[in-house]
Amino acid sequence: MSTPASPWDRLYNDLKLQIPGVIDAVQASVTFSLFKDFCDKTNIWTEEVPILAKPNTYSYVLLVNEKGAANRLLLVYDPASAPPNKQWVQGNAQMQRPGVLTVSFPPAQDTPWMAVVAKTPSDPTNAEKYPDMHASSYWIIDKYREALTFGILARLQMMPGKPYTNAAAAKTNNQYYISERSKARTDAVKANVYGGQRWVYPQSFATISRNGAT
Amino acid sequence: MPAPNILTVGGLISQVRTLLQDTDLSTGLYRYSTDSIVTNLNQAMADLFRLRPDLFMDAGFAIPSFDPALPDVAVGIDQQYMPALIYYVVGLTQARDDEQNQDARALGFLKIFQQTVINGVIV
Repeated sequence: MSTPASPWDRLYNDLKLQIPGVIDAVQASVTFSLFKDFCDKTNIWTEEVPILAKPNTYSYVLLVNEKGAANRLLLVYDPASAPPNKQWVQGNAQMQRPGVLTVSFPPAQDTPWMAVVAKTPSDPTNAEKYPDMHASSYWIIDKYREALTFGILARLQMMPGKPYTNAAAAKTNNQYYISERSKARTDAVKANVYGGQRWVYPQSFATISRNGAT
Repeated sequence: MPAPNILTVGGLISQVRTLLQDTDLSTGLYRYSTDSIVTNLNQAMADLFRLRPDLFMDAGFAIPSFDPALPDVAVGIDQQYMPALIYYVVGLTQARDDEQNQDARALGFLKIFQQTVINGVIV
């Protein structure tokens, strides 16, 4: 038994205090699956992936550089139109297969685009079998440690026939987890701005066409 | 003489012998043979897997089988569950012993094993 390296160390310690009897391999495995659920439901772990859009090319592999795997396409924008006016380069951009962007209208000439993807952890894990993350994303573990603690506790306590089996506590902890996860999702939507919104204007009221722009 | 490392088969056997009060080798033989204790250890691993398969996750959910001739092999169970394993082996070894009439003590050890691995407490 040994404490894993940052950013998982504090989370590991918080759990060990409350779940006597759990072995490290199980704790790491449950942490991985819980964090995958957390990322999937919140879109909190994002990365901007540059693409060079080409004429007559409808499909692009999104190569994430900062670990994890693309899980949801949040936006494809033209970096030439500077923030805060990031808008979809066109409608119907999709990522039916995670990590593969498809577009309906390729540009007329080579054009740099930027795809924003939400990620989930993927194999391989780090050496301690925890989700492998780039240091620039460690803040997620720090900021949402409470949420992750509640969620992992709930999943461990739901297991049958263990010293830490506790259905009542599992239910309570799961409720706390879902509540904290919802807050994280809101944080992601609002980019951590109190009462704010990260987009400029609701897309349904957009005055600029999303079809075929390059 | 250093304390035996209970994480190895040999260390576990040594601790089992201590609890069985079978450490006297002056006659040249122990009361309980090493082979019989290792057989009980192998049975303990099967029972432990049935109750707590998660403890075998690091080993790819394979139940190990130990050889009396290889005492330095690691048992491969998380350290916090080694005492429970020792209790099981002691209990099973004593349960097989019809000369000592230690059935109550044997059952006590087996019960402690089960309570430790499932409930986490010894009552």
